[in-house]
Amino acid sequence: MARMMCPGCKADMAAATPYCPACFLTPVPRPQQDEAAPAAAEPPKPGGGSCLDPDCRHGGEAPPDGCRQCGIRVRAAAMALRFDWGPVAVGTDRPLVVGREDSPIADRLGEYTNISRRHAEIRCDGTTLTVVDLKSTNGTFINDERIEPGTPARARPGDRVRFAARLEALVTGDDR
Amino acid sequence: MTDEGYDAPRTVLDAPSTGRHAAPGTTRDGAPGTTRDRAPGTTRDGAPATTYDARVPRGRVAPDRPYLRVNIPPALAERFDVDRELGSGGEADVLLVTDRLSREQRVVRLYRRQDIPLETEKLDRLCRADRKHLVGLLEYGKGEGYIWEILEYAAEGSLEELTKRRPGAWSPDQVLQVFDQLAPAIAYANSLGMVHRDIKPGNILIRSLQPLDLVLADFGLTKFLAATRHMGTTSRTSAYAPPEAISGQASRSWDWWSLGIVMVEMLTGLNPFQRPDGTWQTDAMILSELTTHDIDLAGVADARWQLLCRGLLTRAPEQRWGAEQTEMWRRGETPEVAEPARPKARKAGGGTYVFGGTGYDEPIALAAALRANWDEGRRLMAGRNVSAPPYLAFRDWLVRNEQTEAVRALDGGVSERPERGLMQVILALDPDSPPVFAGQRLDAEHLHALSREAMMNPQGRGLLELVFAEGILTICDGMPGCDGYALLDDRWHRSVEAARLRFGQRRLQVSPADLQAMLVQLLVTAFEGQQGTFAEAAYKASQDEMARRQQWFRDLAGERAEPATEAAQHAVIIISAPIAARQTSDQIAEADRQRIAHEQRLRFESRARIDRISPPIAVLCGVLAVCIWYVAPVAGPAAVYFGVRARRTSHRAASTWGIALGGIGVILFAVMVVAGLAAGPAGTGVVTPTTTP
Amino acid sequence: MNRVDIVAVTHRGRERERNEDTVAVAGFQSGALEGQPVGFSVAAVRPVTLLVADGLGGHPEGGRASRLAAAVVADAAASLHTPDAVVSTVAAANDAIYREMAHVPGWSRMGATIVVLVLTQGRAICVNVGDSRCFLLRGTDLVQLTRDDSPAPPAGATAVATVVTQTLGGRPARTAVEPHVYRTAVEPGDRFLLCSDGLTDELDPGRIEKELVETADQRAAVEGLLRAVLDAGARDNISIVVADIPRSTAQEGTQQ
Repeated sequence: MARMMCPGCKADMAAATPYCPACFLTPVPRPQQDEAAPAAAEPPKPGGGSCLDPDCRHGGEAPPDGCRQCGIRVRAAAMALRFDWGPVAVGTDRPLVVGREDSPIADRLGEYTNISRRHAEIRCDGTTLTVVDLKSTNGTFINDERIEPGTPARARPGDRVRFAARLEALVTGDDR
Repeated sequence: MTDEGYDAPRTVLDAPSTGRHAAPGTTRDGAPGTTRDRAPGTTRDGAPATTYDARVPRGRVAPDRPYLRVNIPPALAERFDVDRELGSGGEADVLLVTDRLSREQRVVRLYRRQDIPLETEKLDRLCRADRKHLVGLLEYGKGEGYIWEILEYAAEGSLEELTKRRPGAWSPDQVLQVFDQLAPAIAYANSLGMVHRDIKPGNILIRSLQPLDLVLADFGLTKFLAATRHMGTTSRTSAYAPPEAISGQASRSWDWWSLGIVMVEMLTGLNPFQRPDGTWQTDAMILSELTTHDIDLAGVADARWQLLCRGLLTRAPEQRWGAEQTEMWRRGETPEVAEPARPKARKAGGGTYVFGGTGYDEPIALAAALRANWDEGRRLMAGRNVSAPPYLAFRDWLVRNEQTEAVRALDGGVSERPERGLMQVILALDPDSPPVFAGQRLDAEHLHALSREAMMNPQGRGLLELVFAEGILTICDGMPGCDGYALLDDRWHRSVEAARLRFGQRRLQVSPADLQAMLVQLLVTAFEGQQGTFAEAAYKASQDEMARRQQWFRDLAGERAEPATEAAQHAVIIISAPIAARQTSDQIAEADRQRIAHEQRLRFESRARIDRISPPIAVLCGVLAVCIWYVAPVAGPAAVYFGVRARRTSHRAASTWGIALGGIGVILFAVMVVAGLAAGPAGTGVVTPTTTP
Repeated sequence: MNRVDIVAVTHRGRERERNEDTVAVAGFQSGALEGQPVGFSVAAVRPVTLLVADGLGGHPEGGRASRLAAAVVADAAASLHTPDAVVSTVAAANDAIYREMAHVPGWSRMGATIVVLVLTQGRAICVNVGDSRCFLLRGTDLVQLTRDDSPAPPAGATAVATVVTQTLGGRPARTAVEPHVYRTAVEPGDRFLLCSDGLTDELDPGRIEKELVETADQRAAVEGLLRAVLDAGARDNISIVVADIPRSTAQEGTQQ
């Protein structure tokens, strides 16, 4: 039988203890990893969507729609486009539209007059970014190569995505 | 009985996949009993639909080789082959068996408990009962760790399952068939003096579908268990229970209410406590609805049926329709339906007051409850200061019940301690019982014992202190066993006052514990003829040697007291003797301390005097030791000694000189001696030549 | 009454899967499954509003109803100067629950009981619907300030603890509520206890009184009560709020 511990103070609990007398939390089984393979227990990668909580309900890996307990989202949270003014995260749940209207960053693009109203759409599946040019007037470029309008094109971390002539963004995030 | 009434249900049986509870693809083919291996959810599995049935996971019956968890008692094993397990609950296992001789199927129920009271008279009556209406109880017995019942096997399942296979409202004609089976069955059971108290579709078994033959199940031993079980949540008992069931009251008309609910359920297709999506309300919600609202009969369209349902679902048990009215209704007459009584209609009296979770409408009973649950009563009365709702409800109840005396007592002392008010109210409500204060009886006999006990044991003193402070004994005056309490309390208070006066005169600080003890002692002496109880003890205390050294104590002990304050005098002596003795011993200790301090001071002074004269002596001895060599052995050490003493004074230089000169003198003396010893032979040698030549 | 010291805790108990109780203290609303006592010290410049809402057990959306009720009352906290204002706010919470019910059929009949205590200008206003309770400990006596909406049992019978006759929401169609109102003057040294029936069903009033009288430290008292309930089985969600009116700093007159 697994040893029980308090999820709050991590103190050992006797098997029949109904609640931790100090934290009032219900004891949970102590995770096995420390006895089973202490060498294999490598520290979780920061920002990699792994949960540091030993009692994580999802076994340390946050589900794509995020973990309600720890608030960590899957790696997708780390995928972002870094513009001049700062990074804009691309979530897995909804695509990011770049444009001067209908876009969360529309108010930033007032001076970029050559960007279309709905210029491009950035999708994220957790590991890669997909850029779709929404038939913009002045085109979308990945590493200065114009992509086919309406066709999804892949962008990896480190790639530069340019919208029309001047607006450029760097794809960030870990590549696995 | 017409057959057309059953066309609709049977149609559904023939095409079970239309019902959402039927397993797809199963067909009910042929006569009952020819097929065994039926998919879950058809009639067979649920056949002896008991309360346990509901808890059995449907898929667990293995068709070929039934695995039996349960061993049946050998006595039964000889006679029956076990076909399969039908279910098990917390209290019993249910088996389907076949009689080896007659090849008839039976249901055996094995109770794991041994402590079920076997009311044989009742069970025998049930065995003999007419099988037309009730599921036959064939035999019962006890042994080998089990109590068992052998029951008839109703092959067609329960009404609950029939309604599941044929969901929605039934036509009035079909419901009438059901009614014609159930109403006489309930009337018959009641005529035997039995109330089922758990009639619900799951307990109504179908002996045959054509013609419809319904029987009531679960009249046997389960009844005794049901009494010990809470209204089960899985068994849906509460949805069919009448309002009076909430308080645990049994009524003869219980089953008729349940019949009414069954009728509504069949007519509307939904239990009144079922949500439109088929899920059930929780028990708490059901109970809440039952206590506050009438059953909604809006879904029953037909006027005749509505009349029946209103009659059966009359909240007042005594006005509910029974066998007589339902028969009249069946004949087409229109029996009277009592006006729906308001659930909280006040009785002619003042209604009920809820104290500690229990309702009371009798002043005497409430007084008994207040006595028994003193702390709760104290909290109730503590609400008087702040006009808390429970207190106001209590006062309202008293007003409605015309307990004017109690109300006057309540209004009289709003700012008093709650205990006093509580005592007054209890006595006003029930003047004929001996008074009880905080769980202790206060009639003369008990009070005397109580005070004696408190003399020995400090535990009970707090209580008596409260009795004293709140004047409880005066309130009790004239109550049974409390004659002359007003005088008693008066004597008690007077003597305590007298004692306190004496303490005050002598400015004695008396500890609260001592005061408590004195209070108890004075209560003992306040009883008639007890004034002298402690005379001897007081005399002994007054003779205490240590205490008598105190002048005030001698005065106190010598005082002549009037008879009325004699007891107080004794108490004061007893209490103050230890105080006086402590004072004496304190004084002795103080004197000792002073004497020792004085001696120490004398010693210190003499030493200081020697210290003061030692510098000149040290210097003088030093000089002598240096100058006159043969006094050096005495004067040298003396000079060092006085020099060391002189260091404690301010004459440091003199001390140094004394030590130094003394030292030098001793060293010189030593040198002289050594030189003398060395020169001795040499001198002889020197002298000899001078004398020899 | 310059300041009010409050310690609150809410816990799902030992048998329930969820915590459908909601505690709101001076604008902070709980959302804990198994909480630890939380302390507040609030300057009483505005009405200090404390409440416990207990979602109706058994209904899957009890928690939704209790949080909604708590939020509605907490939103109005600053204006709760009079008993009438508190009552109308509680009625508004009732309406809000029925409005919310209309959105999803499955939310039908969700409901909550509530007890609200407002401390303002030397007065305490206590309003309740259902069987969540408020007590006042003054001196050594614990006095209940709320009137439970439980059916009066017939004479000689014992009340069924689980039955309430009035709740916020809880019925299929919109039903008005009549909250019970109580007001009193606050005195320095008063200790108020708000709790859901998870506390009062498990511990008898004598036990609660003993804990509150004997334990001067608020946090220790709350922990002691919680521990006692958990040890007793904790069949329902538990919420405990203890509010103390400090002795020393109280200078405002209490109008009695």
